[in-house]
Amino acid sequence: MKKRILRGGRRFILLSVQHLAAVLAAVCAAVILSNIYFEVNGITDSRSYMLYPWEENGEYEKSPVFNSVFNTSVNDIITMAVIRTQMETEGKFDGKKRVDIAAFVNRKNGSAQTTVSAEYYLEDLIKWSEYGFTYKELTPFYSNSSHIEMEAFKRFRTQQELAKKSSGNTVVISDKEITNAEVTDREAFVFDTPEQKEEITVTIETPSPEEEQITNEEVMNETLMFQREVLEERYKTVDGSSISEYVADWNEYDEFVNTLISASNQLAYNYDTYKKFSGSYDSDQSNLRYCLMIPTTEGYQYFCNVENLPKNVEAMRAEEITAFFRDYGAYLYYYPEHMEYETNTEMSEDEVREALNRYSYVYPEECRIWIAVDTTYPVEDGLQYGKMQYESFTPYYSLWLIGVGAAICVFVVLFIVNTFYEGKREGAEKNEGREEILRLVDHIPAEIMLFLATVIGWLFFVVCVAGHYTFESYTMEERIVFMAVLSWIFSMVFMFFYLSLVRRLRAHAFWKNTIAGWLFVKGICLTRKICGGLKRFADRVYNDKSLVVRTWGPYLFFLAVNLFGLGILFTNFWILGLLGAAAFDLGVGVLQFRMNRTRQQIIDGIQTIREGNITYQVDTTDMYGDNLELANAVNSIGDGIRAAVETSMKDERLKADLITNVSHDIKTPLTSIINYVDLIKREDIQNERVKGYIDILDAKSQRLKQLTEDLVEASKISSGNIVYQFERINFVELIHQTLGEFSEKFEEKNLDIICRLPEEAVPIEADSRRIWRVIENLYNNIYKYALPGTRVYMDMEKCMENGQECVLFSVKNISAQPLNIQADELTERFIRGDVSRSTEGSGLGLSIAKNLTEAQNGSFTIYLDGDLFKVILKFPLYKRKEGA
Amino acid sequence: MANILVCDDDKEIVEAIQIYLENENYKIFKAYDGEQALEILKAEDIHLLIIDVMMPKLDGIHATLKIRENSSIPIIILSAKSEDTDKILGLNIGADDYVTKPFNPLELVARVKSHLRRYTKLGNLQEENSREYRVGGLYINDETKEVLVDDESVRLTPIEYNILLLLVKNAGRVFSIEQIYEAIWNEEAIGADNTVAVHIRHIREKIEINPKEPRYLKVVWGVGYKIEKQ
Repeated sequence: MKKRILRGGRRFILLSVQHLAAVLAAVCAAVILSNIYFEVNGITDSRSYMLYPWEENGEYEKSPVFNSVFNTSVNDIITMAVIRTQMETEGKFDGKKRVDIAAFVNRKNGSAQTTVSAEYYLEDLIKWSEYGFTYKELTPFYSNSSHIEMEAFKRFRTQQELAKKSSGNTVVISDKEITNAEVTDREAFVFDTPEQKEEITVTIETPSPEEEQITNEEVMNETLMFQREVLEERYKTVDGSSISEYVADWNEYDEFVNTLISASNQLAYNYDTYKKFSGSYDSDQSNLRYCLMIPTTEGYQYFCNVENLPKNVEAMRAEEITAFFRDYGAYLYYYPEHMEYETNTEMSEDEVREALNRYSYVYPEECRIWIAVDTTYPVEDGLQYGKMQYESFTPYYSLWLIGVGAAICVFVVLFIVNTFYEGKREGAEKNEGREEILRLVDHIPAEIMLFLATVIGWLFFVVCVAGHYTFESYTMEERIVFMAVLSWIFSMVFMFFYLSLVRRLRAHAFWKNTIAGWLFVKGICLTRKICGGLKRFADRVYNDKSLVVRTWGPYLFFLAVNLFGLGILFTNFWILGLLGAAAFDLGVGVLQFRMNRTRQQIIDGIQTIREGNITYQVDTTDMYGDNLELANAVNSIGDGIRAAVETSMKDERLKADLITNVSHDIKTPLTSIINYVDLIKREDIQNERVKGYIDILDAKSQRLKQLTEDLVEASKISSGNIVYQFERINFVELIHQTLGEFSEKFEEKNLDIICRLPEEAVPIEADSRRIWRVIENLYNNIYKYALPGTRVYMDMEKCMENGQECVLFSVKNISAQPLNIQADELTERFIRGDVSRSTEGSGLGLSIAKNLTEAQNGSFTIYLDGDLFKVILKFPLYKRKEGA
Repeated sequence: MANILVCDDDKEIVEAIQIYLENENYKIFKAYDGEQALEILKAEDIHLLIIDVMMPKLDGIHATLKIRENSSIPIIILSAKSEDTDKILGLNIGADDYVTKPFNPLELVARVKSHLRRYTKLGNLQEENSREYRVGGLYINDETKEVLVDDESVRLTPIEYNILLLLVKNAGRVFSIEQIYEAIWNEEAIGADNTVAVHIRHIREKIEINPKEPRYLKVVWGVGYKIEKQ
């Protein structure tokens, strides 16, 4: 059989291995997580790629990771070419490049919606954005605007005012307002107070007489308030003009400024990208080779980083270039106009087209694209790094994964094993000493443990979340250490709490070592104490009082409470009185019922004991007071009877044993006596007197033999040392058989047997050999003591008694000697009719017959009437058992 | 003649038995405890053993067990113990017969004869024809109307013979008085009386050594009679 107990040392080792398995799983997981992603610096930011090791299909160039890096690179190149078209002329950065701001801003929409536009130098726009756009207020005192500017403002200002005036409203322009200190013939700028937030009152006179006539008075009185900021023009246009020369009114001005700002910002941003880009896809920085052919108005523009491509790339045919690129290993060629797409990479035409369509203003359908990867990877870049990662990790990925799985399996198995063995120890199957498996920590209430576990769990959660967010910033070694330590601590702490729980449950001490359980137990104790106190008080009041007090006291109390309740009925508290009295009466009723029930239990117990079940004990739990005393008395009476019966049974058995042993000792010498008497009889003895003596010896030794046998049997029967084998017996048949056995003996005494038996079978249940013994003894009795020459009557009839069918068998004969004793004495041992004592027979016959009959559920009764000797045997009729 | 070993710690009993058996011309060996009996059994060619149970050194039960390990001679246990359980124990461990003390010497002699006959002669039986019946030592030849008990002829009346034949033919089956009456007298039993029972008793007295403890014709009290199947 398997040993079910592990010693402490082995358990500790198992536990340590379990923690180790957790650490191993975490380390393997950390390795996988660290290697499955790798980062590559793109043109704008560093990107992280996933290796997809489970989609491993051999070659790096066919792997998803290559595809994604390549995809990114293709997009980068396409973007870069776009930016280069913006920044470069003839392959070099050209700061003096002219940029039409409206055309630039709207390059994606194709057509410019605004008409206001101007050309700036590229470098001016970039610098402008880098310096930032500043605004100035157009004020009377601090105007540093040029005259032209002011003129322009004045001009479109007037138009605006006129438009406003026609609606007859006072216009407050709160946006970018212009103020002008110069009061012209047409306009007047008046300050209320210089400190007031540039609120300017403007009085405008209309130029034309007609208008003047109409509005003169009104205009003169009208005041207008302005707040206006204008862009500080750091740079002029290519023509050296300022903005106001290009715009007609304030709306156009705003639009122009907006366009200018967004063009400038976009270009500055692109310039940043351009700077980062420049060189990163050069042939000495990247393994990528590209050649983009973009049609422009002047022909084709080529973007290439292939140094050894013949200089006259323009002269080459597309097929030649494709062939050239094909030699690099991984390549793609796309010519949207003819839907030509050729590649040996996983990148699809859709992806390339999508990339191009984002910059469709640069890449019309006529463009051609060749991009390749030099699969000898002469340069360290993202692709090369990816290949390194891919080739160093992918083949071992499944191993690491198996490592994780195996470690988890080991952890789970050991977890189960540890659970099984925790707290098992020798002898722990038995209830005693179960508590010994508890350690000190197991006595801390479970609620506190739960709280601690929750707090620690939250701490873990927080640490894990923090670790998750900062995971990227660690090196692989740091990650491994981090996860190993975390998992180790987790496993330790978890098992600490878990095994404590297991021990508690195994010791059946979980409930006990909780605060709730403790409170519960205390509560029960307290309740019990209070109840005990109340009971003692009641006992003191109740006991030691006379019967009158004990009987009438409670009754009067009951009456008083009810009368009180009745009295209250007529007051405002009637409902209280009603309910109180009802509850009290109900309580009394329940109490009365319980008392009567226990009394009934006692009565049942007495009945049971009276019926012979002397081992019965009345259950005294839930009993109190008089009933308890009564029950205890009944139980002790039962005990007394049982003890007495047991003693007498034991005595009887001892007596039987004694008689049996003595009879063995008598039998051996008796054997010799009988044998030698027999031998003497065989001798030829002439002396008649000696012959007579020998006959007496013979007869007496035979009688002694009979006596010992009967003695043993009688003692055995009366001590109940016999096992009866009951079977169905035909009583009538039995009488015929026994009469047959005795017919000659009866004839010898000249006894006339008059037999009246029923013709049908009379079945009874008895042990056949024992009932034969009963009849045999009865007949022997008749044979020995009946007056020779008389009649013997034997009758059998059925009768009913106590609702049970019985059979009565009576035997009547005339005694040869007068019967001067009581009938019942005849069945006592060794009792016979006085005179017959000297005749043969042991005197045990009737006693044995009576005992055997009673042991077989029958009755054996003797009636004496003068010389009439009558025996009545009664047996219950055999009933077929149900289902038998 | 046959050699008989008598073993009892009571010398007088042994000698009494010796006298009876020597009268029948048997050669007697005497032993007074179990160990002696075993030694004599080894040394001599013994055909039958009479052994007491309660003896010093080695009692009769253990001696019988040892003898039965390598011998099949008839063993009669002779004991003062008369309980059913004692008899059952003795017969179960290999004894062939169990006689209680004090015993009738003639009965003992008869049993010895019976066992010796069966041990020496009846072991090799010849083919019996269909009209011969045998139950233990009881043999009935229906052609010659001959009844033998342990090879000794028994005289029976025709009715007794018919009853015995009926029971032997159906050995093991219990016949009630009524059934026997109807089978033998060939008429309906009206108020059967003790006639059959008396005949049965007579048969038993003729074929049994001790009619009160029958070996062949058993009484099933209150049910009927049967011949024990052997």
